Amino acid sequence: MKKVIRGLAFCILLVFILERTYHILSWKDTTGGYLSSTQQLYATGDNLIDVVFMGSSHCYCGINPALLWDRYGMAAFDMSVSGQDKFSTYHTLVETLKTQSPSVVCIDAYALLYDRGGVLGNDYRNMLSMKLSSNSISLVQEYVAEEEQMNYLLRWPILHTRYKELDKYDFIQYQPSIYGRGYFFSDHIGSAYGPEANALACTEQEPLSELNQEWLDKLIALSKEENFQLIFWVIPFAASADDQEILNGAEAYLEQNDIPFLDFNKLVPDLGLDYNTDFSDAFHLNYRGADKLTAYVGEYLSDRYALADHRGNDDYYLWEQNSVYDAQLHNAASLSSQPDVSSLLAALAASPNLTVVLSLDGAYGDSSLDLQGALAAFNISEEEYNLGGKWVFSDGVLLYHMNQEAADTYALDVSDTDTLVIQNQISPDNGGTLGVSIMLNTTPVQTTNCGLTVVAYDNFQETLIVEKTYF
Amino acid sequence: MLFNSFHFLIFFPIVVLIYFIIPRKLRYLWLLAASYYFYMSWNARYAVLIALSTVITWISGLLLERFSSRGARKWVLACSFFANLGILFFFKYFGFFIDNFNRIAGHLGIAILDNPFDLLLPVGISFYTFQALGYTVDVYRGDTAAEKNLFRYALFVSFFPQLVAGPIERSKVLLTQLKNIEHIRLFSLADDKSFDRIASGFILMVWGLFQKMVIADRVSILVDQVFGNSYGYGTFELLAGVLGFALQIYCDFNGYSTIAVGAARVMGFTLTDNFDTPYFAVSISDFWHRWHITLSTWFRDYLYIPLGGNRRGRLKKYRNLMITFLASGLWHGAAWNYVVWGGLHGIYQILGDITKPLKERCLKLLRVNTSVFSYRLGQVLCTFCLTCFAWIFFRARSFSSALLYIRRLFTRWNPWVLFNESMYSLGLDRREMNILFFSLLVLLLADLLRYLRRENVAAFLMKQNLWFRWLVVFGLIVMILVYGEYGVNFNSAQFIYFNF
Repeated sequence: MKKVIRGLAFCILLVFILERTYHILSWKDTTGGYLSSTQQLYATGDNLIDVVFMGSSHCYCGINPALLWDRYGMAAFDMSVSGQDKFSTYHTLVETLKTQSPSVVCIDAYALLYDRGGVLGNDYRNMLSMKLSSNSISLVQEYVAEEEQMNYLLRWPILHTRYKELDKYDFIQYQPSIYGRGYFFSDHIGSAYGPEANALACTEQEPLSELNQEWLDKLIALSKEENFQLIFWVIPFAASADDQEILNGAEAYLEQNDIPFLDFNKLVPDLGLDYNTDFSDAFHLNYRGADKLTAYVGEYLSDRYALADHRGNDDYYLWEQNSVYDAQLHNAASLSSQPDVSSLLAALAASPNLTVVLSLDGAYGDSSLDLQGALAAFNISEEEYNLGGKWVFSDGVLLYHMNQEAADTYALDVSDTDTLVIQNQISPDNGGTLGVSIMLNTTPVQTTNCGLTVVAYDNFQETLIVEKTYF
Repeated sequence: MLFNSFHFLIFFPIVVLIYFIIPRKLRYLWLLAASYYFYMSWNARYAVLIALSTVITWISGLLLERFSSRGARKWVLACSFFANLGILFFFKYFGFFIDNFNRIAGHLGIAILDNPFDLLLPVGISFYTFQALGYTVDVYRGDTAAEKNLFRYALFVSFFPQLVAGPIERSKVLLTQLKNIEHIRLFSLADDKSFDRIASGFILMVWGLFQKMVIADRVSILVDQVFGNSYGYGTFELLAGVLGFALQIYCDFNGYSTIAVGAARVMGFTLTDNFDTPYFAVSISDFWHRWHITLSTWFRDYLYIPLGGNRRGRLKKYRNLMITFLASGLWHGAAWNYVVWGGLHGIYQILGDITKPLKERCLKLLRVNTSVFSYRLGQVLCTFCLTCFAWIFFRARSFSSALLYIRRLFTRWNPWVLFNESMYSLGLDRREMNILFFSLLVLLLADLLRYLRRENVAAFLMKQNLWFRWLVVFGLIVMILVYGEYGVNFNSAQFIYFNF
């Protein structure tokens, strides 16, 4: 009996250790900001999602569920993964339907344009994120070459190599991967040119390939079986004429089956999208573009479907949290694009969830800018301005002030893992001059010791969002 | 004059050479002159203090031998203690006393005191004061005869290999050897023993320098970085800092002691080993039998046992333990963090003693096999962790810094730094870390040798064939010259224990 108990204890301990190790090594989107829509789905309570958006990166960069929540109280979710191919789309939807009963499922038709992505990172994203089940096993069996299947099914052969890249969010939960609703916020403005000129005019239809037809049929069957409205659409990207022929063929087929098909490439002027400002590259919208597209989608869905307004319902706290997060991201993007010091400081003073460090150093009085006027936003008086030094504010409240000449160190734990350090040090190696610095943990943030340095840490995102010096 | 300085590299061979060739009767005078020169190379004025302490304890010795009445002898002993500890207090603890008085006065609204003295701590004052006081007690107890020759006695107090950082020698060990200095057979080509003695002394000096210059001074870069910026680091950097300091202080102090023992051996003297693989200790009390042995035995013989030791019941034993360890903490430095460090070691021992029956019952209940390697390893690891925890107080700049360090150590969990390049940004890059790990492997081998075979490096090597002995010694010398921390871009760190 004792040996049985001992054996059992050994097994329990071993399972616990392996589970913890697996948890650390498990696939995480290290190049995608650690965001995982699959993890977000698993963190969501049962039967809460009303609208699901399936698709590739076009989808998670283009549709922002937070805006739909803010405007309509719509419980929408981007169940999208980079390079989500046809197989992955289907099985990910099946995985979603295990716990959710959406009324509407919108699928990005971009998956019709390729069968297997060929990007290893995307294969990992799609194959290794789901919990192990007959559904995830079927996906691997359908998608992965036979000789590679065991690596994906056992997962350890792939994941163990992650020991080389383990980082902070392998050990602690990246919170947006819990309350995020699948959307990826980007404020990058990149080069975009839209579809090829002849693509939009193209009316040719390419007959559906066997695989595409099978995919559409399976999805239509699933929609009937699970009783949800299926919608296909094309999120704006640089389509070629060849792409358009395939999409036209699919549109015709779906029309025959009474499935709506929206080609947003053709609606770019109606959406108000600007290729100069609203894209992060030729294939992806940035947050400005996503705001415009989402506004259109929200109107479209609310006009046609009876989707409940869940605002105020405690079960939907993840959407509430995501809304705050999204507002914070929008605010951070707006802060980084402020044109001058006065507008930046005014915006910072009015922003919630921020720790702000203001540092007046060296010959800041010689600056041609009205630094003193700008600092009025933080109630820094003329007398204080003349003395210089460093101020630390949290949500507009002054936490600490360090005189310019004082050799001192102030450390503020701004999150569980980040410490903001403000330091004035007399440097014996440099003739006793005063070395000033602002550091996040031990990484210097302040690069110059002359002028007004403004540093803002976003307590919600747990990251620095402003690092600027004005002189 | 540091053992790892060019100054000592010239000083020592000259001293030894002349010591070997001068008439036997002049030997002790020559060593006395060399010792005072050695000491005065730090601060010539402080030679007055060591001379004063020497004269007071020498006269005390003579008086103790002359007086037969118990009362008079006690008075002499008390006067010697009062004078020597007075000097020690004035130079080491006066500023500390004023600071604390002012802190309390500030709370009570009493006028604060100005400290009119800006005193530099005389190097090694705690060491030679304790050595001289130990002699006085030995004479008082009749364990040793009073030394009549002032200069010979002065050499006992100031013998340069162990003057500034120990080992704190007993009169029975060192003074006896100094009395026979004329009879020491220094060197003869026909005498293998004297040659072996010089060779093994030389090996010990090289081994000590290796520990100091390659390990201690290298790891100190990391330790300084972490302890100096602890507010910016998380659990694992702080853990690296405290582990680093445990290694640094061991290699620094053991390195010094090994050089001291080696240098004395070259000159025909045998000094007491100050360390015996302390990090292999299986309990805190075992640790103190292995760490700074000459100080521990000093406190045991001259404080703990006179207080009653463990003979007068459990409560008094605990009281005596706490007094001894608090005094030991204060001996190390005039700051509360040292007192806390000493107090922690006292508490460890008391708790260990109180929980011993419970521990034994648990071991019996769980049928733990206590005769196997794994049990011993567990004991060693537990002891090491407790020791390291206490080192935080020892190394931190202040008591509040130590508390901050500990708070962050237990709350800023960041295991990911072990997997990215963060650990290489603590002052030692990947190459430096590799050198450190290789050196630590060498140290581990040497300590295992000592632990398992009761042999030090020199004794082991002297028994080996020439090719192996030379290979190791050449290897160590090349390691010191190439990887030692010295020369340009190195701000030479003093031996840590010089400050005590």
